[in-house]
Amino acid sequence: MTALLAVHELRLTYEARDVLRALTVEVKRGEVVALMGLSGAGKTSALRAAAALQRFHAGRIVVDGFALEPGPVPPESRLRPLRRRVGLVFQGHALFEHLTALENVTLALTHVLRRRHEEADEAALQLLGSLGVGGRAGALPRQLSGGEAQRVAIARALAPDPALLLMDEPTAALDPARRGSLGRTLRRLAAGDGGREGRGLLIATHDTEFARAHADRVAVLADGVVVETGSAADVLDRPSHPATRALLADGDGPTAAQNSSS
Amino acid sequence: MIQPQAVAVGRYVGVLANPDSALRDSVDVVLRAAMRDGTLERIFRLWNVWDPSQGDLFRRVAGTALPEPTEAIARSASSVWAYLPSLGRAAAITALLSALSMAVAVVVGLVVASGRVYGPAPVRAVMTVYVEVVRGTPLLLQLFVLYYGLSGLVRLPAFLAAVLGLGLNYAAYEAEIYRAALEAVSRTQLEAARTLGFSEAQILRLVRGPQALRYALAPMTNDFVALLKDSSLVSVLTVVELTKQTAIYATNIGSWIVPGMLCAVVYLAMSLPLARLARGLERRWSAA
Repeated sequence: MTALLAVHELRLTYEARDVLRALTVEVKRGEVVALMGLSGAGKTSALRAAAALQRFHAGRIVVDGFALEPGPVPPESRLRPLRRRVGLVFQGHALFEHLTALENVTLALTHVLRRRHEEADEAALQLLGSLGVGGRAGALPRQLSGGEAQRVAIARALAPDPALLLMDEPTAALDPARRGSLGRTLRRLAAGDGGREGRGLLIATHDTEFARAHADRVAVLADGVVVETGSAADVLDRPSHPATRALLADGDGPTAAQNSSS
Repeated sequence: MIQPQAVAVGRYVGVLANPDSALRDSVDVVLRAAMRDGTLERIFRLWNVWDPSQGDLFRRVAGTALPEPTEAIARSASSVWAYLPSLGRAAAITALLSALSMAVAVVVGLVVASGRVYGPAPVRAVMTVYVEVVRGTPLLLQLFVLYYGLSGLVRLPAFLAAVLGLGLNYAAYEAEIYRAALEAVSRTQLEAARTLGFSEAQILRLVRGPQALRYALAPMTNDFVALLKDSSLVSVLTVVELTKQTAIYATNIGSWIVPGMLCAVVYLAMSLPLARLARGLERRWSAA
């Protein structure tokens, strides 16, 4: 099975520094892959390059048959096929501040996919409901809690039904209980439900506990390359590279602390 | 030559149009004073048109009591009713002039701001020069150039010149408000829109524009208040708006006290609600 996302030897320079030197990572349909690394390791840059928000300087990114080449980001008119295939959930959610939760989700449905308003509302309410925030449809982003906003942002990214979902530090604003329920939601999205094809999820995180519990595979990023990759259990329980050990030692908030003491 | 003996007795009478009764009163005041202090007699003698019968007339006319200052105020107070309709019309002209000028300023300002934010380098340069030239020179000078300076090329009606002058001047300030507002919308909001597949035009219309509008509304309202007051400058183009009408009124009755206060009240009645609106908008969006 060919990969939904194939990043090959990606080099990305930012302000004269090689943020990524030769990143190679793949995500298949139905798979949850955790891209791990300490802060500043280049996880966000990798996601942004795959979502065509950021230029890269060498290598190749192919999303479900659509190839991105090194150089400046192409104009939006040429990125249409990519936009249909990739959803990105930003760290800090980036919901449209002037629109309600429901409008955030329906906006792309009505204006990009040209669905009728009633149809879009119905689909969006169903999506919000399945993520447990159906009751907050009329709220503005500033009225939502961190966890609610996170879920609305996921609903917004999922509304156009992308095959690949990229997520940047999705657990950052969540308490431990919320992390568990988010993890289960992500597994469900990857697996596909009700006859729907599975999706591929690439999650940038430094939350080792979350990755261990919910990721199929882990890729550890250090010095601009993947230094270690494999099943979550293999990599995180038997780390072979110093960067992975540093990541585990760095801890990731209360969850890790509780885990290491128990 | 002048006859030494009087052939017949005649009097000169100055006739003024009915609405100029205030001017008539002013003329009378001047003449009476000149009769009393002998100035008028000296002038008559200089031109050799003095005769004793003038003295009787002077005594009779100048002897009548002149209006006391309190009476002057009473007179200007009673003149309020006579001048209210013309002040009302002038206030309506000020309001119309300001509204039309603001409409020009908003439309041109949007074009200039879009050019500065989205345009290619040559367009950006032209728009920047426009903004800097307009903001760097006095509005009064711009009005003169537009109305008198261009009169050789195009003879604009005064009111149209006033609307264009004020509108094009304020357009530069509006453009800066819109540009700042557009740039205040966070990059992440725009990137989020791009990942969802919106075109650049859709992003402007659906995300960037509506969010920028929230930042722009309060400063726009403040600008409108400023424009309302700056509209008094167009009286130099012969447009009789509120301030000009007030000046006419004050000259007629020989006092600025009542006309000045009335004029100020009318300006405040127009600008205070707008200032309140601006504060309300600011509070509403800063709480957001």
